[in-house]
Amino acid sequence: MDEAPKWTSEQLELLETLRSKDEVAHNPALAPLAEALEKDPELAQRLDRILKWDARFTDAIGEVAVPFGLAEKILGNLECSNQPSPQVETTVPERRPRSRRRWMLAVAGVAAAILVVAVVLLNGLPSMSPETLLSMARDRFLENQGNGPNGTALATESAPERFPFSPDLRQLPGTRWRSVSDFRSAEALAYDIPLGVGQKATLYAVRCRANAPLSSRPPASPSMRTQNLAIAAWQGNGLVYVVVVEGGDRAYRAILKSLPQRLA
Amino acid sequence: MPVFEVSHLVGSVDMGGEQAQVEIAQLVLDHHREIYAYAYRLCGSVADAEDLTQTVFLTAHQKLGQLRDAESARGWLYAILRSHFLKLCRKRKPIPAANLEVNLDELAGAVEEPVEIDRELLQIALAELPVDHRMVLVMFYFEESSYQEIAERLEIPMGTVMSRLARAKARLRALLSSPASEGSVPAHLIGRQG
Repeated sequence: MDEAPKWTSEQLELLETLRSKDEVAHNPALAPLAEALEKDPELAQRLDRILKWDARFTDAIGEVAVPFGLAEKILGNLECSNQPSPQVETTVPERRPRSRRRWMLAVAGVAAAILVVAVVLLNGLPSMSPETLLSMARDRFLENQGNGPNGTALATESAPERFPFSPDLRQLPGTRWRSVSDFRSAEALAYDIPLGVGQKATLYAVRCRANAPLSSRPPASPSMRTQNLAIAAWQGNGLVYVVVVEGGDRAYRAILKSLPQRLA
Repeated sequence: MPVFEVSHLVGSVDMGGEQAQVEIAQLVLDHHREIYAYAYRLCGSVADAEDLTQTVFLTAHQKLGQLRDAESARGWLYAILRSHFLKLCRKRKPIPAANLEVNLDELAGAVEEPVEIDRELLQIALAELPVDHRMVLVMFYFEESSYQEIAERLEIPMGTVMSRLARAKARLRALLSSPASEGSVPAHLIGRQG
């Protein structure tokens, strides 16, 4: 037998728009709903379940496997779209086909040589995904968080040349370096950078290959945010750099050298 | 390891009287993953999501001048994505009316305890929803927008957003709730995989 509807469609729709129970308590416009929730445990249970579903959907919807090499494809297409149009080309002095062919062969040869050198240089380096690098750096940072200053002060002794400090970050006074033995199978060095008020940032210089494209400079916004930590990765000097900064986005931006010209 | 030479992919934008360089390559590297994920959840196919992602960054490259500050880059890219997705839907064959039905009774139905959500089954369930309901739902869960923000961005009344959101959420839960044990494919979705 059909029962009369327990709740109005307005109540049911409102429940679905909520992000948390607190929202009902703090929004005067939702006072009638707050009252209904207080009086009706079944309605309150319904909201509980909706919020649990929402949390699961929010987590699951972002979990999408991104095709390998997508960034390269996009950048390749952008480069093509950026090529001068035929009309623009007419302003360039005309070249004889043979010299153009010769020039293209030379460019192809140089490119192939660079590729061979790159393969030789990179061969043997462990390969990690950007996500793994970010997570590894976060874990290493958290493990070391309670410890006092350790390692060698940069002011008294330079770090090994194979692991230079990133030129894109501010090298603040009191920076110390130490080797990191447990960055998976990769050789790594950590620079601990004091930020004042008891906070610090750690720059990990890792000898490895990222198996997906990383930018050649730190991104303007961190790629991972967790537990008030901002984490980002990029590549340079034949290394992958990962920085973990206490204090979130603001602290992260403060240690970048050239933010005003960058966009996230 | 690929290193991109970005100097020729740089646009110039007026930011409050100051000229600042906007690097499209940096935008791609920073945002291509989330743009692809968003596109995939809307389109439901890898090929369409890739095409849409490409189109988003191509448009972003052409319209860099519209981007006013670093903080709004993500939202700006999302807006481009939504616009292209809706254009794509309009171009394609209209969806049969039968598929547009969202059972009104589902809204008032019981809300079961949540189950573990398999990301592929979630995609199949999303594809079951009409485009306008799917869009609102993805904005709610992926962008974590409020219904007021969704209404503003899609330029539709708030009541319409609330109605679509509530029905889409109820439908999605119903599709993914399984009477069998957790982890099994819900009966409604059997035969729709792959």
